[in-house]
Amino acid sequence: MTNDNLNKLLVFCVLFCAQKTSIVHGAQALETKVALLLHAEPENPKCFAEGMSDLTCFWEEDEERTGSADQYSFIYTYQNENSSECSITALPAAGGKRLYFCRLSQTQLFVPLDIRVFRDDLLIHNRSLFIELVFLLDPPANLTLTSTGTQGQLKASWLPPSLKYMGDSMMYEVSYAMAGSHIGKVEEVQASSELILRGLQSGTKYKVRIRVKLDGISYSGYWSAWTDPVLMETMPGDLDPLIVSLSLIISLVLTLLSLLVLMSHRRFLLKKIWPIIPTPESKFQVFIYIFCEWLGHSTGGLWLRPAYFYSEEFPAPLEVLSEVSLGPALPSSALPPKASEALGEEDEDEKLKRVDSALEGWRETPQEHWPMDQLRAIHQHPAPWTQSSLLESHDAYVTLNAQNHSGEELLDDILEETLPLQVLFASGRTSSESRSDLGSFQQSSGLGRLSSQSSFEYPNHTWPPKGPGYTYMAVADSGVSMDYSPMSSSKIDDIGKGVIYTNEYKNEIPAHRRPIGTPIPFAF
Amino acid sequence: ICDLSVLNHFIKEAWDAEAAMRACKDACSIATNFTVPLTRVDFDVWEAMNIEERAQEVQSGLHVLNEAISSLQASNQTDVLQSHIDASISNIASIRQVLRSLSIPEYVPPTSGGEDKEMQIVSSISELFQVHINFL
Repeated sequence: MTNDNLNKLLVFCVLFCAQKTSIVHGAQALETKVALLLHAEPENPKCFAEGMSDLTCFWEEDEERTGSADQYSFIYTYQNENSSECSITALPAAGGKRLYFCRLSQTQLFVPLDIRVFRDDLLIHNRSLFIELVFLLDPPANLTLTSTGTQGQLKASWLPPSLKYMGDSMMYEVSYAMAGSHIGKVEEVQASSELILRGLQSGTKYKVRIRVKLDGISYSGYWSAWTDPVLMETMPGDLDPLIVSLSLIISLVLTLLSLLVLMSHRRFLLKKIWPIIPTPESKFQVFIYIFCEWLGHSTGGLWLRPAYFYSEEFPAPLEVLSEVSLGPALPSSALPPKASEALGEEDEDEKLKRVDSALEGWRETPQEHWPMDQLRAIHQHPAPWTQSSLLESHDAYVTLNAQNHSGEELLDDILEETLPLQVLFASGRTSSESRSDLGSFQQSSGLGRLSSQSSFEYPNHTWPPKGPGYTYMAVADSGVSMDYSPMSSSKIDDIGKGVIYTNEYKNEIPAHRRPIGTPIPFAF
Repeated sequence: ICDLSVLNHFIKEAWDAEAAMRACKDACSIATNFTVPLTRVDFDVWEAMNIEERAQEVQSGLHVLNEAISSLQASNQTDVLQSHIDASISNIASIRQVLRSLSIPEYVPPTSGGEDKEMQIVSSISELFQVHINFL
């Protein structure tokens, strides 16, 4: 028994609470509608229908005129029917006012309804209306926002008021704005339960609310109250302009930094990318030095045998001529007579012997200096050389005589570095020791003979012509550096078919190629 | 077939006709009375009716209205009103066609009895009737 009683009490309590909740909600809804109609409807009494067969009318009385509900009478009459009376209830309102309500639970639509309100038999309100034209519905329920999968869009969906026959006559107004902003947009949709909001900003929170009204063709009424706002964030954008601009700025800054670094290390990078093409000057000096040393240290058994030949043809002999001094012309007979045979092509041994003899001859006369005309005599191109301004110097020079043996052969391309500065010769350190080494190579490739001569530097830096057929280059070695004068020919006519190119040995890439012939390195 | 947008269109035309009639006023007044159907709808009652009863009510109402407007057509009216009258008659015919296609039985009320109604103002005919048509 006790358990049953308790159970009944529990059920009663639950039902009461639920009803109370609904009553509270109903009261709140009524309060909202009253407020709406007080604002929207100028006529009295203000009536509205919430469903298909109900009507609620009310009017407001000021404080001084308020009385009990019994003082008032609400008389309503349908067309061609008898009048009826509605019971009145009073409710307090804000500001000391009172609201008097009349509610009908069975109504006729599409007929004129005549309403008269009396207070103490005094007609205070008179109105004729069609009930289907005064609908005031509850706001739509279950407003939800979902993402459509597309950027800048949101889908709003709701539950329409459950009124029979009226679903197609309902019109909705959707209001949406960015959260926190009071400026929003409104969109209307008819007879639908969802709407896609477009043109929204990506990654932004939006606040959406909705209200409903009958469209006015068959039924009409007032706008319902707004629903509670619902918040939803749109999809984030792919290319946020802020992110794009920041990325551009950062890349620009990095580019500038890299440029600065490059500019600061410009020289280092230039060296790496465009390395300086070495010139054979240093090698020339090395060879000259080695040759000098060799000349200085070696006595007999000089074995000038080229290690190998670039060309497989005749080896070129080395003609070593002494330096030219300021003294009178030395007898040409001091020269190895065999040197004159350097013009011809000989065997290797004979050439070497000649070189040996030349060197010995030179040994015998260390102090002798052969003037330039002696050189000419050697080459059977006698030419007076009166301008033998032999100076005590450390200069040595090399003359490379090129004569076209074949006359038809093409000149090989010789790079500066591959020159036979193996043809080289060291210059003397002092005037007394100056051993102008003159050597001449006979180019076995047939390009001609090369003869190297050394002499003192001339004050006028002129190189007297040696005779036809000679292509010579003056080398001035000051002990610190070597200067190579451009090659010139004693007689251009005799050059024949060959073309003379000049080179500048001054740490620069030669503009022309030397047709001297293939280099012949020496092995000591 | 039963497209409410079409019906809405008819209703809008009836609204226009009524507005024109109301503006006409004195020139359009008619001495005789017309029998027009009652247009009141009590949804509780309507819900309780079956399809046949509903069909009967609708069809009889259409019939009566058609006769009333046709009689109005015979009298001399202005061209504007005449166009409205013609439009209303054609609309009623269309509605009857719709009902026929929905297999709603036709009904012709008997001459006497039934729901008679007097028309007071010409202008209100269209309005009342169109209000009535909402519940097809």
